[in-house]
Amino acid sequence: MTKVNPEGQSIVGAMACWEGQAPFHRAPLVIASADGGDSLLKILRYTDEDAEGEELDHDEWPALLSKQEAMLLPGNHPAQPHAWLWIFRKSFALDRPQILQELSDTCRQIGEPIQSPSGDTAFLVIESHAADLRETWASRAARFSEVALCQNDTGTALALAETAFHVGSLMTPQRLALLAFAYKRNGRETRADAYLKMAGRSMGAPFADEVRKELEVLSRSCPGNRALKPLVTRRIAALSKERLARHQEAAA
Amino acid sequence: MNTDISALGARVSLPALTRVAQGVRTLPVARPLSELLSDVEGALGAGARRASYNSNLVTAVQLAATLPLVHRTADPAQPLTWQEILRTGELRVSTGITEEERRCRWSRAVYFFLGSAAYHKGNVAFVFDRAVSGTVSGNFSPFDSGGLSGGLLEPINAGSWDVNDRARCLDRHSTDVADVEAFAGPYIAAHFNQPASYVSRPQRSDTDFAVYHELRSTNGDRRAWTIEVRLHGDVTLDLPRGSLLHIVLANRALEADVPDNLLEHVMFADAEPEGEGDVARTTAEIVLGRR
Repeated sequence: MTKVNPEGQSIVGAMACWEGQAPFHRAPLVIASADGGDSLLKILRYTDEDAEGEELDHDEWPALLSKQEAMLLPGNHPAQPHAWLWIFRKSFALDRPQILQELSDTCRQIGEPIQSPSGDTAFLVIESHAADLRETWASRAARFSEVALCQNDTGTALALAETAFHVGSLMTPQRLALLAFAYKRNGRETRADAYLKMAGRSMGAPFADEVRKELEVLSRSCPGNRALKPLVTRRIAALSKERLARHQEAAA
Repeated sequence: MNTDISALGARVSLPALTRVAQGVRTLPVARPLSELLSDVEGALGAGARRASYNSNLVTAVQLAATLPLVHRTADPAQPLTWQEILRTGELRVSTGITEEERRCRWSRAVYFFLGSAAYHKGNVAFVFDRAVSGTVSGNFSPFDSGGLSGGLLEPINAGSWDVNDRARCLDRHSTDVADVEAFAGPYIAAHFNQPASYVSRPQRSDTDFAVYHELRSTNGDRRAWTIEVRLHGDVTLDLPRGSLLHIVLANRALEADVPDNLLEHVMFADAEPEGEGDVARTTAEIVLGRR
């Protein structure tokens, strides 16, 4: 692992491609010496003001680009600590203007938003205060997804569950269970079951057990075509109030 | 105690014979395993290295028996992108071969490292049970053939190092993939004070004892000593259950591109809080049974 101070480095690209399916992708940056040297660093994390990551040989960067593992970023911006690329794809299921407003209100950004030819948008974000924002969005998307499930709007529920799973800064049992449940309700049992196995493989058996428990809760509270349970009804009511309040606030 | 590793080699050549009997096509000019092991033996001497070897051999042989084949994406020789690999369910043989491979009369290949995902730097690593190597012909060498051809590896002592020398070197240190386990145990014991170091060392690192083949990396890269396996046929991900062990992803966002039938194999690479997943380190921990 190589450690550098980003001061004096410039942002060359990021380890993501536009063509991915996830509604949100937080991608690490690739930086280079501003003096034009050959050395490139694929950042894996920041420690205080330093960036740590894997050095790329001179022939590796073109390979990463040609294999759609990475993308070039325009602008030749100076590197800064805690900078990441946030990609919002068209499948991002929360209200886009509101999200972008919250992003600009909360986070410092580098340069202008970057548009893909297919309409996705990416931002170079200084993340110092951004984890909370992602959690807020994830919680919001998860709540809306549950409501959509209970209303039998399974397509919307799945889009929101995917958004919740990917935008959250943490992978929680609740969001993974919601994603699996939404796939199940969309008739994709294989994928729904695979999420449980993936949970155990990635996070261990206790985490997978938590996911199972959350799935049972969801099965009870959003049983499909049956009448809504009181708990869910209360959730919908609470959400409606929240939406109303937000609209009133926006109107004001 | 001296352990006769040539005898070990003679014992474990049997799988190669079995493969021939089963009709798996073998490659031309495979040097006998016993000769490769004899080369390793020749580097041990009688001092501290021999003592380390003797004390580590059993552990190294046990480790070698567990080492999987790892293909990490962003390999320029792999014609498919990571998304195409997932979509088609295949790792395809390279579009071309190096001049050194051509001189060895080898055909196009899918490239793996034994027990390591330290290279390339792609976002995805496919970890296979080594049994997958029984499905197509293949061979291995205790260094990266691409690094050899590309100038990353050079001899410690040699006046000449042209393409003929490199091809001879590649040929001399390669043999049938069926023997890779039998080679790997003694090889690891001969080069490391702790056998697990073969797996866990980062990309820029060296062995504890000088590599017997006397090649070195121009930038201290482990490709000078990590065992490369070359399979000369397409490798499908849709194998009998158990052959594809893991798909290690650097980032949670990548799971959305994994088809339903492969998703159960996904493991997210370990990340520090607020960091990106470290595919190489996570794969090493999987291989060493720490995950």
